[in-house]
Amino acid sequence: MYARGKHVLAGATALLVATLASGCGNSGSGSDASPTPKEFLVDTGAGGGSDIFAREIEKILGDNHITSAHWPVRAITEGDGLGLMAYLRSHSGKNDEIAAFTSKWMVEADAMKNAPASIEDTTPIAELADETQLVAVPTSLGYTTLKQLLDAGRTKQITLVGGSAESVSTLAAVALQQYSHTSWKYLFFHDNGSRISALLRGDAQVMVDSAATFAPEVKAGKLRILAALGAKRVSQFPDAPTLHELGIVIPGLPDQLQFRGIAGPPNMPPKAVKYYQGLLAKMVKTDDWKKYMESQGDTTDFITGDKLTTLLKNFDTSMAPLIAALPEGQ
Amino acid sequence: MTVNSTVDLLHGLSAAATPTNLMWVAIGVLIGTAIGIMPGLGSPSAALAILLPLTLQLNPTTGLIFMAGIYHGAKFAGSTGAILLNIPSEPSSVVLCIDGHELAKQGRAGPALGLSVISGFVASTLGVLALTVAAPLVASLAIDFGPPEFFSLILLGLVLVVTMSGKSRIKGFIAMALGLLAGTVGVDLLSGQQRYTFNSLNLYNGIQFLPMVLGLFAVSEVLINIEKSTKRKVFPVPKKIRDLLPTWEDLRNTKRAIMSGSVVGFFIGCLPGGGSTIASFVSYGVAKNISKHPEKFGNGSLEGVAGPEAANNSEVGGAMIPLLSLGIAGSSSTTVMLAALLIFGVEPGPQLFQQHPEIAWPVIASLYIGNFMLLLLNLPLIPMWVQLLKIPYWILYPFIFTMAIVGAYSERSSMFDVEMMVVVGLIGYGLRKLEIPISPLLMAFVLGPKLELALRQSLVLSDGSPLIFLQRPISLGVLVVGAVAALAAFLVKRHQRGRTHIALPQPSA
Amino acid sequence: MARAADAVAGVVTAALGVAMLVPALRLPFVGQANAPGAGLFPVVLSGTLGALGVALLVTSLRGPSEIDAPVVAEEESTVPAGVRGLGRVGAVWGGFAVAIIAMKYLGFLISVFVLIVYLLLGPSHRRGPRQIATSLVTAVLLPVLAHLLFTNVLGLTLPEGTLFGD
Repeated sequence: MYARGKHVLAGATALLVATLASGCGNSGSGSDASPTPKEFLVDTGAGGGSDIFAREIEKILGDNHITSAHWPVRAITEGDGLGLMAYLRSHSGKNDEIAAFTSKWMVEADAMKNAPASIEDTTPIAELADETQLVAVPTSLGYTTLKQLLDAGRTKQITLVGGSAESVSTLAAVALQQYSHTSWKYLFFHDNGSRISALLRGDAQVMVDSAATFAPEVKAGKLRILAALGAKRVSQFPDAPTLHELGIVIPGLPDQLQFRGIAGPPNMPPKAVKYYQGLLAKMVKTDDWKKYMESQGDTTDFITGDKLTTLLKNFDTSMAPLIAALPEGQ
Repeated sequence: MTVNSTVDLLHGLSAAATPTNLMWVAIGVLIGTAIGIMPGLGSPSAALAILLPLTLQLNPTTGLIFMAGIYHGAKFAGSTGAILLNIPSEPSSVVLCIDGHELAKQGRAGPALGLSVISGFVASTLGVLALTVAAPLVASLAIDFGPPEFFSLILLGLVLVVTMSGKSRIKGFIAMALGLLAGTVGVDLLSGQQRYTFNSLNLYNGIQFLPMVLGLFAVSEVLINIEKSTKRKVFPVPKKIRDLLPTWEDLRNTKRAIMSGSVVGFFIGCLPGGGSTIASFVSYGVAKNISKHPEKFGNGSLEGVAGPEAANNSEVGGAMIPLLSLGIAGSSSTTVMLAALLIFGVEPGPQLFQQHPEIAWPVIASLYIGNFMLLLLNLPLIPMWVQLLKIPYWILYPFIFTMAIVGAYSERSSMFDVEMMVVVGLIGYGLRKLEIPISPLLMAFVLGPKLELALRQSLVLSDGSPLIFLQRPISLGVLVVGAVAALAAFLVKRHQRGRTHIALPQPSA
Repeated sequence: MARAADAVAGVVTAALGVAMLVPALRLPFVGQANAPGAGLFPVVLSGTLGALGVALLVTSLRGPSEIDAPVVAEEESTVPAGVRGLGRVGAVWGGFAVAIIAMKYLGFLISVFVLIVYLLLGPSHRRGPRQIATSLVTAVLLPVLAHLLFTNVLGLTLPEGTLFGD
């Protein structure tokens, strides 16, 4: 009995050692020139915006044989974008961690006093997509132009429904209010379903979000898009004019509000950065990617290097005064 | 949508029921059950998220059917954890612990589990049938429920359930206050202010459900048992087959609970923003209030299991309507399903039923098939699940610790969550020793944030006027129902107290 | 005995209420549109908690009343914890806590293995030769199987430990 126990114990210990060893081997491998990401990090749970974005990228890369490596998507949701930036910082210098970033990360850092992390704690690799924000109203209200909505705010109380005080769409709404010298109420919900239903119910009169959010309702004729907050019209809603076309100039409101890209840890080896940029450059040329962008109402914006750094800096600077103008300040 | 819908449903059923699909739904049920049985992973959304990579490799219809199987398997397993181990895997299974675990302690785990499956199946059937007739009504309900309606509904849920304080009213209120306070931690949604986060990113999103529940229930339960002895066998395990499954009499007695639970679950479960959690509480309260033996609730009432379980299962039928017709995901599980739909290239929305009924109806049918599969596969296995209780405690409690670590860590890959669970475990032990009930604490923790949010959102809408809750018809209606129920409960209790000293409902913790 | 525990509970609760009131008072009480701000609930709740703590203390000192009389004796709590029982609890929880602290550095596998060995040979008193063997087997199998199942099969991540390059 005792002897048999010893055998079992030996076998089990061998299993333990083997698992430990295999666990160590699980980290990313490959040289600097062609690293294999250990994981593709996102700051939302399954089904969230960044999660879907990352999975689509992984799928397109695989389907088009741009890389044979598998980029497992992993969620680091603690602390939202700030948490993920802090996580990247703790992996400084590595070449095997990549993350899907959004412009919201910079807003989060700006909105928090003594933020524990910022975009400086990452190496932005490339911007990939611009998710032009749209201004939507229920058709039942009868507004057909943005100007009508903004003017209405002077005589009636307009309520904006959105996701949080720190979302880029809310800040864009702040800019619109400043432009029209009106003051809106804010109604925030955790989930998209509640936001849309608030709009349809009449609890709110306006919402700013991306095309994918509004598409089903617009198709059913329940919502109308009044404007696209960007440089170009959105292909899904070709009738919605841009602010420029409407003659509405809001200095300090960047053309790119909600954008997504890929970033790595700080001090990422330049060769690794170049490698990922190469893969992504190939990806954005594929048909699959174009189809994906169209389905989301996004525009492909492949920006890297200094141009990217400047863009991020400008975005950061323009957001600060808008954050300060939020109703319940920090 | 009436006669046509029934035809469509039958078409959908036949499209969904191909041999390949049936095989995948069976696999989904089995894997979902296996994952869901792990304390901490029993929520369908966790199981769905874990298996998302595999799901996406299948073709859309099969993939969605696979997800339906996983959903039901994980939900059932979550109920199993709640009943056998007193560990709720997601907010909507918290209510199951109250009577379910009590039944397990009384040696009736088998009937409880069996009833859970059966009532779930019945409710699911009703839910699918209701879909064919009630879809437009549900779709509009999902729109009509705004902050004031939510507030009143949650208040109703709390009122119906609240007589759980058990022995000491003061301690019951302390438990609720603690739970409510714990729920305020994090970034406040409406203002962006940090509450009790001490500038830490770990608490930025608040205290998570899993560390809280695993600590309060799993870890503290181990500590309570260890204090008595490390060798104790936990519950009596019946040997006769007859005692391992519910009897016909059991089913007859729970008819009302199942029916009411199905209705409640279907209509409330479709509400985006926490419908499924609220539905389980309200259904428990409703079942209790229409039961012939309300005093049994909290002491091992089968109706206390059947009602919430019915609600938990019919709600997915209800949730499908806003999902498919409006593209609105109401819960975390439907969010994952929505993601899968999008990645599959299926765009949910008002047009889906009209333009692509051949996609919409197989999805709905697959949910039903999933539940049927669950009944088929798991009902015979229940006697086996019950044997889990026979595992010697010296193996069981390290297993619980191990699984608790995995469960707490896996949600956010956060050691902080594991640390939080350990600390909450000790606190939970202390609370139980001091006879401060932890079930109300957890309920307050779960419902409190929703209640506060709904209250503040409503007052933003009304510019601070509390009259809004009475001015909006649905909200007023719900409040009236709540007032009537509270009054009735009060009168009944006075009547009871006047007669004999009857034990107040005791939660199992 | 139970009343002394209640008194202590009352004091601790009251103190907790006060402690949580302080940071809450710094938050805005009123938000936009005359609606409650971020501070309302925390202030009201912590104040209530403090008041409840005082109430508990008072009732415990005053003796059992109709409201608070225990209706049914519960097995778990009215029996006061003996020293040995408390010792066991402390040993088990303490071990658990240490294992979690170590997990950051040593990773899931080693920490859980050591924890289970400690728990079974320590507080669980499984010290006969056969018991040691089965305990060691359990201590190896549980974390290994969990690791295999969750990381390799399901693709979750578990802490690898900073010593091993996490």
